[in-house]
Amino acid sequence: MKLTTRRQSIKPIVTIVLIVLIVLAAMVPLLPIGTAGILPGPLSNPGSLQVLATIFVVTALAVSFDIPYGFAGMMSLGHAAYFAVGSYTFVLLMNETEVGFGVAFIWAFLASLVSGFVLNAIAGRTSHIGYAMVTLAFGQAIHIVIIRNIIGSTGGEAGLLLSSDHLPDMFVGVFNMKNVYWLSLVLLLGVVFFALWITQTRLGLVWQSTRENELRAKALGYNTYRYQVAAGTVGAALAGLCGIVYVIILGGTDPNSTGLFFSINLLVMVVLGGKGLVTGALVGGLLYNYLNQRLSAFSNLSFVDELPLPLKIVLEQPTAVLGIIFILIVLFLPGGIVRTIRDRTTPRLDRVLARH
Amino acid sequence: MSTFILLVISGIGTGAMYFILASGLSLIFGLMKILSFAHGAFLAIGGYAGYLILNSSTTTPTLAQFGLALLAGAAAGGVIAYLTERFLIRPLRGRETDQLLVTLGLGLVLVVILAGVWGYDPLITPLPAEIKTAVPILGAQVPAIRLVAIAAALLLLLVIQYFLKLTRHGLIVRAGVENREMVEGLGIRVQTSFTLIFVLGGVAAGFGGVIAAGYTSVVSPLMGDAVLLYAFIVLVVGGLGSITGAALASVVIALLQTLSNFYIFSGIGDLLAVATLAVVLLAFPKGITRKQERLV
Repeated sequence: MKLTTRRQSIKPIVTIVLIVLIVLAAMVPLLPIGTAGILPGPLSNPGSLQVLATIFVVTALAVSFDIPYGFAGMMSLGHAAYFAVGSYTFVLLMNETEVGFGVAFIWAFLASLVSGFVLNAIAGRTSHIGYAMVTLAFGQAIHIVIIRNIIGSTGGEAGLLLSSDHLPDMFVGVFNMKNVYWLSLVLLLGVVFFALWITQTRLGLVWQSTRENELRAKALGYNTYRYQVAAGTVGAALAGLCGIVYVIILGGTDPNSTGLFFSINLLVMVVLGGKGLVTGALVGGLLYNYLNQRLSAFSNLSFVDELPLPLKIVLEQPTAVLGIIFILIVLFLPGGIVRTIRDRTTPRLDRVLARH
Repeated sequence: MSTFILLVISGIGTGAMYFILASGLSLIFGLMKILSFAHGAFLAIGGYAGYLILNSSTTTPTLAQFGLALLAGAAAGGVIAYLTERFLIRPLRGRETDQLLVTLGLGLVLVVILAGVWGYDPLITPLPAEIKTAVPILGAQVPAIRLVAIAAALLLLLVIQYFLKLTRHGLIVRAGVENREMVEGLGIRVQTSFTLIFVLGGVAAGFGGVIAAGYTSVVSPLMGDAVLLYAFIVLVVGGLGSITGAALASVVIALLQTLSNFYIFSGIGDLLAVATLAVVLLAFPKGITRKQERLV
């Protein structure tokens, strides 16, 4: 049987809406309009742009996680490690050497790619819970090395500041936050379109068939181990890119985004939107990160004070609200938000035909 | 020499903590095929329940109050575990991945709620004078709480072995670990055992929370997750579903960790413990003690 990709028929209206949304997102830094508390300030103000850029990058990271997790069915609990490898390699090369921006960027990207390849080549020998545990172990090992400052140059719990000496001028300073914003938007769009493309290729289809039934994929003659290592490596390389852009936005590394807690949050984002769907990870990531950034601001609103204490405690903690939403989604909408909406709005026959 | 003895006893004490959490997780995985990420939070809840009892009077608590705190911690852990099993795990029966995800989410939520009430900063827990004193053993001054932790873990090991080997429910659990479908086919309600085992794991975690509070003399929302990672390591190294394996592995892992953190440099022991997990999973996917649970 020949595997052919059959593109989902996208209605013209969807394309138009998408283009309008992308153009609007690109124009954000030029629009000095008020946001009425939805963001920390007017749309074009650097604070708002930084919040949006962070949301975009972590969303891109969630999409990169969806490739091995949602498409290839590999539940990794160490995805944050590749993100950390990308960001720390980049900052160390920028601060400690004279190689410059471009070279540091490429080396940091390659470092996360190689770390993903090596880790998955080892961990891919196990499956299911075993894979989750080995990636958890490797992820925590990298986290411990960073946070306990074992190699002596990771700055421990304080993290590392990115020196602006070798950083291109266009990314330095508050006034250039719009360029940083555009960089993160390009990253997000790039990762999303790449993920949309690669999951429709022959490679992506084998990932999905491995996820559905590994034995069957093997019986069809596919070396599922190699395909899974490829999925893990692609996810890791993209995560490394996200790590690099993340430190450019924050002006330094964030040691809290290296451990199990962060990996679990990525899992939450993907499951919220719908695993195994690029749009699912995209929507889940945007929703999660927006709420995570802004819920604490909403909890200062006056009506929260009048709520009973248990509700108030929950509302003051973004993670608690998001965790509860996550549990409800797993219980009642196990396909995630996007898949549920899609299934409710598309006639069943179209859905079946749209599959490959 | 006295330093070495102190380190060894401390290491075994730490291992006792790991075992208290891992024992419940091991039974839960063996029977229900769920790796529960929520039991770290259950441990923290037990710790806070104990803290409330110990901190209730202005004077130094007595041994009786410490006993009461242990009971309160165990009860709190049991209640929250029961609610979890009843309302989150049971509706997802047969969807093991979703059950795992739910425990992950619950673990996050419970920890931040604890933090919302008491803050992330560790709270000093008052302890009875008796368990704070140092006991001389072979020339080393060993804090009594470490011996209490070891004794508690041994007691738990005995209770679980008694339950598994000499009670009817234990028989069903052992049979269920071997072959769940067959037990169900014989007309036995495995669901009852699921609830029982999940609650037992919660009771052990809550009890362990009070021991941990005594061990470090603080409680914090993240205290459970700190133990949980090592409990996972212990559980995999010991062979998922094997209690004696978990007991053995917890001592080995904790000793390795404590000794290398002291003699090599701080942090390397944690790294070695984590590395052990990866090595063991790759080299012995079935666990080192017996061919218990197939992972691959």
